[in-house]
Amino acid sequence: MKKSRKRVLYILILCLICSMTLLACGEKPADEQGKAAQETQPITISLVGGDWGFPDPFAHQPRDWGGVYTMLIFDSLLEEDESGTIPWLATDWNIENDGQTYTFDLRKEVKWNDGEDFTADDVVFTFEYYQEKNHLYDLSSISSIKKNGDYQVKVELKEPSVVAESRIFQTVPIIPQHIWQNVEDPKQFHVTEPEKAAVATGPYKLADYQQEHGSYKFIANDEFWGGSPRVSEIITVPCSESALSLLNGEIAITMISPQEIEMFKDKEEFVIEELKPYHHKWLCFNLNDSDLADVEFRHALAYAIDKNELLERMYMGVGNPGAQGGIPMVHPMYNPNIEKYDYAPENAIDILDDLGYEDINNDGIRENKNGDPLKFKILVMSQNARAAELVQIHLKKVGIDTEIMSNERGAVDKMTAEGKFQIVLQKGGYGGLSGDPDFLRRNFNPGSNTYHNFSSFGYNNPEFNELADKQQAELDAEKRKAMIFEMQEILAEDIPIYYLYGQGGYYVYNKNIYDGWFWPAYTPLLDRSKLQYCRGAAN
Amino acid sequence: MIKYKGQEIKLGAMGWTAIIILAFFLFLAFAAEILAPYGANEQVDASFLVPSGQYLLGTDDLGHDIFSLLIWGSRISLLIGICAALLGVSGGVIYGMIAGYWGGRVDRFLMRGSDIFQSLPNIPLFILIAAYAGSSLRNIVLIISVFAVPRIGRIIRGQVVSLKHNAYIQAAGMFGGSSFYLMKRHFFPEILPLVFTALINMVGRAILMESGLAFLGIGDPTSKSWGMILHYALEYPSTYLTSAWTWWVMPPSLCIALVCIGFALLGLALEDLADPRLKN
Repeated sequence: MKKSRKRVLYILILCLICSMTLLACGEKPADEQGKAAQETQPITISLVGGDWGFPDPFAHQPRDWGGVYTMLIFDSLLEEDESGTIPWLATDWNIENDGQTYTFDLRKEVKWNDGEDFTADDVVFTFEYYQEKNHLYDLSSISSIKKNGDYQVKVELKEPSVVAESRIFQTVPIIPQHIWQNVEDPKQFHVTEPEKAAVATGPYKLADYQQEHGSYKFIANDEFWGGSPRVSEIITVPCSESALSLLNGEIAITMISPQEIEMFKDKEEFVIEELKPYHHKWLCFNLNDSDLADVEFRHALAYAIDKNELLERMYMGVGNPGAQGGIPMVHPMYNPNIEKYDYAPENAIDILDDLGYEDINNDGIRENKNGDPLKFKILVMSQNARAAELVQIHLKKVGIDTEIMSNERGAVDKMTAEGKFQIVLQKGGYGGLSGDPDFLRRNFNPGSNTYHNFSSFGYNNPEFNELADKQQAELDAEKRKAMIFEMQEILAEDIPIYYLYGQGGYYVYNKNIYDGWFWPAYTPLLDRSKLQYCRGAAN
Repeated sequence: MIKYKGQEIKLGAMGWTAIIILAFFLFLAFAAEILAPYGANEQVDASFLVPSGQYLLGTDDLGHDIFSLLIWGSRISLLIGICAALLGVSGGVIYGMIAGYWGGRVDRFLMRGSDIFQSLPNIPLFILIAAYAGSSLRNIVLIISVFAVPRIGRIIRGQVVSLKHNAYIQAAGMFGGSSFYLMKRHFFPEILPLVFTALINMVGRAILMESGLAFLGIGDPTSKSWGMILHYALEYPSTYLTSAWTWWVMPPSLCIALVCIGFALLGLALEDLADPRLKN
């Protein structure tokens, strides 16, 4: 009995060893095969997986990759490359009437990927249908859209706008009328008719989407009007550590933090591109709070926080300290002459003394006029708690006490939108802070928008609002720039939001897999536009 | 020499090891002010310094002295464990006594409730509750203790049911002893050893639970418990690329492991005290 058991055990161990050796042997040839195949076979790119919703204009998630995947399949009228705005479904466009009327000549001989022809009717239908049914794209500034023959459309805006090009015509995906005209509930259409929901004109077709795995597969659209795309297949793969996945050749490109960059430095196949520090962390003040409402008090806070130290400790110094005009330092419209609030705790102490906040009971914390300790609650999502701890340390040095309240994203968003906070530490901005500086108007003019992450709470400066409304209709670039510079001065004086730092970082890609990446003119991202994947063969 | 009801309790090697380990950590917790070279929230120097004479275990990402953090962490972790255990066990005792003493429908209701509660997977539920209720330290302690109540309640109930039929208790009841009197005078002293071991086991369990939750990022992010130290160490992108993990990840993990082993060993050593059937 015992003997036979032992024998079974030996056999098992032997099997294990054999299978391991086989596995180890199997790896190498596969690798070599891969390299050989690359030269002859079409390019396949793997990206970091995750569920961003079904990639149609109604069902995708509004953040990050949701829109990117949708635009691999769908086309907009215009696109953006390294030189700026370029024609796409529109071959030419004219802006008349001081920026209130846009006329587009449409590309002929474009076919939807189900074989139907693309015409001006589709464009007119798209805009009208979105105004009625879609909440992902804000088309409230459009007053009318009419076709002029089969291949021309005319769009009238409610008021002149210099930003419609990038805000609307580059972002809105055009949908086929013959598919969507009878769809009552477009959000659910993909559930019953996934193939029809993905009919579009773009360079890729949706081959597979698994919501539960967060996996997508896009294959080249052979009928694409621009010629067959250079990358013939884009798939997403699950990975928990994207840096390691990139290192192991499982994905083609990803963003890498300064802490991880060492792994890639001496490896020949990886190319490192520096990321512009648009992604920010900031403190948003609730200006309805009695202490925070005082602009002098906010100046004190601004001097008390050492932005450079935060950047150094949180992000190894890779990035920029925050600029208080609401426009990041790397943005072409940044005003370098605004107040910078370099770290000066002695200034903060002077201001607080002057305002009458004194430490009566000598516990290291100042008391306000009512004799209560000067204490604020800082609301954060848990991933921002570390930065909040540093802010806490800095404020304590000038006698301001803070308590850090952590909550999950949904709760934080809700509390900030409802004004149930004193100070909130937020982050974000790749898309928002790099585009046309009209975002200043949307962020700080309370009449222009509902609350979102970048809004200040309770801020309302008539002088600023007037400038903000004027600049969006100003066609003279120099005059507009002057206005935007002035707006930054006002914001830097008022500090409704205190920008802590913009974090840099890196894009790393494996050039053996694909090397067609380029920096678009305005969007500081390397992997988020279809042009990155489809151009090459087309030109 | 430890005595209980005149009986001598032999701890054995296991028990003494446990006591040494736990005494060490209790000492750390109580004497943190004297032992820790720096404060728990004190930013002492640059980030990521390697261990040196000045900073025995180097500094973390914010420039805290990790050695001091560990010492302060023992206070927080033990406090969490003891609070959660006290709350959970007292809740369990009340739950079990009610179920066992009244019996009948009450008993069935409470025990089926306990069945349902115990069949639920804990961790996903914790995450859900923490997300809704907010993840302050107090909430974490409450969640851990509430989840222990049905489990401990079931143990206590068993003991109460078996005691209930003893003649002397029946007699005391017939002579007019109120329910409260009976519980206080007769039941409670009998289940006390059981309560005691449940308490000890629960402390270790609660510390482990808190660390696990903190490790997953659930819990007060500003607390300085061992679990949170570990969380931040592992969250940092390059912890494993350098040798930082040997002084940032290992020490808190070791502390958690040692304390849990300590409580588990003590629980084992005292088991025959708790279980009347194991008594000689």
